[in-house]
Amino acid sequence: MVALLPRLRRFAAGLTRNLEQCDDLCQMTIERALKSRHLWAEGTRLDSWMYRIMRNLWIDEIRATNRRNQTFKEEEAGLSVGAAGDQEARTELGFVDRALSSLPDEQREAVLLVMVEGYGYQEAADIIGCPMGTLSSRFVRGRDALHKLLEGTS
Amino acid sequence: MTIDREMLAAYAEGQLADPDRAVVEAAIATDPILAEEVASHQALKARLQAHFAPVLDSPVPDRLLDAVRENTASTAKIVSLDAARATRAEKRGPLFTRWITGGAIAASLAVGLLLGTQIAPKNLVGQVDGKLVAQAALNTALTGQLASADMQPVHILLSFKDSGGRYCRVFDATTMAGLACRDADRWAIDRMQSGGAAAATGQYRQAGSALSEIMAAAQSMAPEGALTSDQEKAAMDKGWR
Repeated sequence: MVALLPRLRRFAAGLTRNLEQCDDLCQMTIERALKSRHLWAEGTRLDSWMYRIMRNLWIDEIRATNRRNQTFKEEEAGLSVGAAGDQEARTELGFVDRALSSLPDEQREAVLLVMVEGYGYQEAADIIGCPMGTLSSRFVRGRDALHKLLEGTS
Repeated sequence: MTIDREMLAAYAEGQLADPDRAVVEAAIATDPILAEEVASHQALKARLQAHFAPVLDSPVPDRLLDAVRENTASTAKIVSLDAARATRAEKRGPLFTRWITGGAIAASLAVGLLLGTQIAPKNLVGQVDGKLVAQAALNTALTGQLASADMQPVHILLSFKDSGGRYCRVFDATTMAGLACRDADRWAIDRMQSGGAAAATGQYRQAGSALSEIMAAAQSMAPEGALTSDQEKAAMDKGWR
């Protein structure tokens, strides 16, 4: 499980776009996974299982709390992923994070799972718990939206 | 055949099988607009990956590592109390070392995560002459499975000889963990912790705690520590007598 932590953090960073919340989400995921370890089906991928736990925690708990408590924080939070770098790097972080923030959740998670985490459609659909066709169309819509938002910013 | 955006994206992600893949590939070869679409897909992908690369490369914060370790903290404590024995143990071969040192943590964690098969404890333990004894898959595993074996429905964590010269083995069977000692031609259950009933009511045991109690019991019962894999194999070949 320790070996999975860097990847889990990356996915959490994509979902939260905020380093502090990213690690909160990771911690909750680890705790939930260890508590529910008997539910993990032998012979299936541990990483996919943990991604699913993380994704559901994000949707059900953290994001719901965010919505209630800090409606206006999203935009600021978008600038804080990644370590402090030079001005140019920080601007780049801002563009991508802001573009991701503006996507609907279901498109963002699809793009992150396929393009960043490198899952196939079927695996990504299993993590999200939707049919593969749904995953494919959400992915393409998210990708196209991102592409449009980021055009001319690189 | 028209190539829609979804199909092209699936192609770019390597998600198409032939004949679709070949069709899209042929279309791309003749249509520069499609080729450009695939190129911009790859460029976006590369940009996103580069964006998140720093997270992947940065050190994992201690609090997350602690969260993984916390669940086996009681096991860790037992281990550290026995540091002196551990130093001696290191000269004695891999299995012994694995038990006494941090390996025990890894083992109990791995067991919890790798075992998915649910086994009802009642099938694995029965009563003979008023004593709890192992039966079915548990009996089979205790008798014929080395601690180093790949993950099985019943996992044997270690074997040792108690002060009375009996062979004893620590096992984990997902819904329960325990310690069984060879008693004539049976495995008498010396200790058992069930996780099954708790799991059914949604009250999960703190991960690793059942095992760590049993590991602690095993340590206190084993004057010479755990058997090495060679010793274990030899004991098994002699029928645990």
